[in-house]
Amino acid sequence: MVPAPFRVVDRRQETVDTWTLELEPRVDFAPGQFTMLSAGGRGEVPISISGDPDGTRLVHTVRAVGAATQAICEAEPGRVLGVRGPFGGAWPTDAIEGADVMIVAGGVGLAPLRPAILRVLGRPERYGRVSILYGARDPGQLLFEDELARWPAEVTVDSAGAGWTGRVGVVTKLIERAPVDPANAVALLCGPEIMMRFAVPALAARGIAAERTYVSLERNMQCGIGHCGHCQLGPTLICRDGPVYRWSDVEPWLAVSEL
Amino acid sequence: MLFAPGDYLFRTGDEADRFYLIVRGSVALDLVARGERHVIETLHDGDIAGLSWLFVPHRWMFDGRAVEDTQATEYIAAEQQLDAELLQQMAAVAVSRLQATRLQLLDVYAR
Repeated sequence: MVPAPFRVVDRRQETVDTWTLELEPRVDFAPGQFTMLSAGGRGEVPISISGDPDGTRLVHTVRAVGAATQAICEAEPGRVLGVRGPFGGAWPTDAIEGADVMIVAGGVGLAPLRPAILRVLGRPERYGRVSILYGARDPGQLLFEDELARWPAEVTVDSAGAGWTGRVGVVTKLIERAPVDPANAVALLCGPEIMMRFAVPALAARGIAAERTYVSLERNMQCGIGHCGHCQLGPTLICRDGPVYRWSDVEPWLAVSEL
Repeated sequence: MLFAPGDYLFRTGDEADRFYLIVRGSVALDLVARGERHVIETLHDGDIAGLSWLFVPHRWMFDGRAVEDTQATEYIAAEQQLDAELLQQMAAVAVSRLQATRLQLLDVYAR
């Protein structure tokens, strides 16, 4: 339960309010897991790991939305951050070997999916076709732009000026034409919950059932080990049982108001 | 028909007497607001560009601008038989875009 000291060794800006930090030492983790990250006395927050599971550093991509995340984003190389974890379950990258993989990400939801993307693209012989669909608010909010250009990705934004030559529209629209075989496809989703709720019917229309659709959820995680109960969703504790779930296992609880 | 980048398939306010099926390429539906051009949506291979021909006042509500080299099939409204099948297809397009617009209005990626 005591945070371990990790040193920031690299820091780069992704968007106006989002930074990627590389920390040492490395930790063993599975794609989809998170850590509890803290900067001094500014609070502790759950942040998904965004790095390569076969990499040499612990990598986090953090959006500054409050005091704790702002302090983390401001941590220059050399600064020490507190890390607990990694915690939680993983994207089923081993269990889905042999399948086509459709990855649907929205906004900073691409960060928790990046380790799974790197794992799947790094072992192409083990998977079928891979299709990455990514939506963001506007062109200035796109994460990992260099990698997106190399990945088998379709990118869309909700709004743009005339200088943008890419797609404008909701990410869920990309699902209908994503180049995967629905009969042999698995979907991995991460983004705003409302986006995921719209994505699931689009996936079902393509023939990808809720049982083959996995999502990563976010709630008010505090202890990270299933003791405090802050991240309870129905019968499940997201820090312990999640954050990755089969959609069919959590769908009933996500539509309940104030749950 | 072929359109080069920057060519307009239709312009805001003009009579909407036709629609297009995009065979290849992309078309931006956009408009000028506060002095800047904003892209509302882009349309791509297999999409229908143009619904205004169906409804009064039969005027284009947005500009339709080719973003890249675009091939589209033009359909003149007066030559179409407005049967249930065509109306159903157009209604499906309209409903799909309405739902997408509602999702965009939610601004789901905001803080």
